[in-house]
Amino acid sequence: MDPHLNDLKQLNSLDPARGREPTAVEWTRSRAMLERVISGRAPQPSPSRPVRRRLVVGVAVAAAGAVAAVTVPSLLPGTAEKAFASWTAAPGSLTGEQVLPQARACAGNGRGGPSTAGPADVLLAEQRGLATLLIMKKDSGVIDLCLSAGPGSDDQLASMSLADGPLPAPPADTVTLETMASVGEGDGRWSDIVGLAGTGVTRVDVRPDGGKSFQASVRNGWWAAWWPGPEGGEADTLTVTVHTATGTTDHRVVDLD
Amino acid sequence: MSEPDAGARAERFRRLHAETYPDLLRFVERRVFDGDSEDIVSTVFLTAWRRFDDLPDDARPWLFAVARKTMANRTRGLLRRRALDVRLTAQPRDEGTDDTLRVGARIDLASAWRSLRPADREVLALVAFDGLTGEQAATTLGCRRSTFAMRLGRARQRLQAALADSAHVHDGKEQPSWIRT
Repeated sequence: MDPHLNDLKQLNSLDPARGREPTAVEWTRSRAMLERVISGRAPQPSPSRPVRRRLVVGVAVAAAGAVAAVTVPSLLPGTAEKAFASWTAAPGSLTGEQVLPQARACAGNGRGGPSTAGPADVLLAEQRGLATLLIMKKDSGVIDLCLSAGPGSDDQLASMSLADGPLPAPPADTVTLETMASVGEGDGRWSDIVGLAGTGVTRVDVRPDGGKSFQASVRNGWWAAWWPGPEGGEADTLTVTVHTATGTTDHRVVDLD
Repeated sequence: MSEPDAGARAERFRRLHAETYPDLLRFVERRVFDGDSEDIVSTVFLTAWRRFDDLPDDARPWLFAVARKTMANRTRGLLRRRALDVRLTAQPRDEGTDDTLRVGARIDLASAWRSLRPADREVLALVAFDGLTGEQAATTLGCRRSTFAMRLGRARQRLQAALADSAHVHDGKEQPSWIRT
């Protein structure tokens, strides 16, 4: 550290882990884990746990303006199985008008202030079997991701704030990763992934390690997909393929900004 | 891979673990509250083993970057544009240590720290707590070194401004709750 950075030096006195050393037990556990990894006996990394998982159905979520708060997606028991069973690797593209009921339900979820919704507010909408995923901007400028199993407000399954306003577009032939997570337990676990797409991006595919590739939706500068499986909660088990007019490029998800 | 090669690779990985485990554990514990730190560190080493051939010579920032993403995945629904916040020590240090910062100044510093945005706290913590160089911190955040330098400079300016405000508010007086008895 630069010796002249006295403010940073002083900050060090507030370090919550100052002087913290692993205990003998922690060393033993960690070394045992390491040997399991080396021998190939390590389990898959744990998926993200729904720490603050909360259904948004019928719930006035958080305070107006608390745009950064996340309502972690969740699927209702039973509905999850139906959504999984009907899931398709290729999404159907939907217009704003086609998903207007879902968009209005999404707009009324109480996050980012009260909001109405028109077709032009829908930035991206896709259908995979039973489930509709949409990204929309709300009156307050907040951009939300919503997943629903039907047109009514009771059909809304999950929602998440993506941004508190427009985000800068990435370079033409590139994508960013804005959010990725997995939710659920056991066989009911599912994942979602969302990012920004440059103007030159024509298609994005996602491939879990050891699994089959599926197509994400790309529209209005966003790309998004959801799928049954835990990979969205793992650090590095996905490959994202970006298609442009000039070719394709593969990215490990851990390398995406 | 031949058996001797595999053995040498495993030995290098064990060495990496021995050299970086304490730092990685501290890095994670500065940022999580719920006792998940060992699990997160395990995930980082599992990822490192899978990508062992891609690891740079200076692996620590690379490991921190994976840890950061793993924590974001678990605790925040992974909003990547949000900073991963860093917590602060709960109690002032004992005055008998080599820490010569007086209690009042420490209160002001803690107050100023809490007034900063998470993004500012994160860049400051990478240097002040995690002990990274600008280049290592940039690797951890996945940005250019010049970008990190700019962000650090601005964060320090805001810290100084917050400290000035804090000093004005407290007028040099110590808050009773922080005085040791």
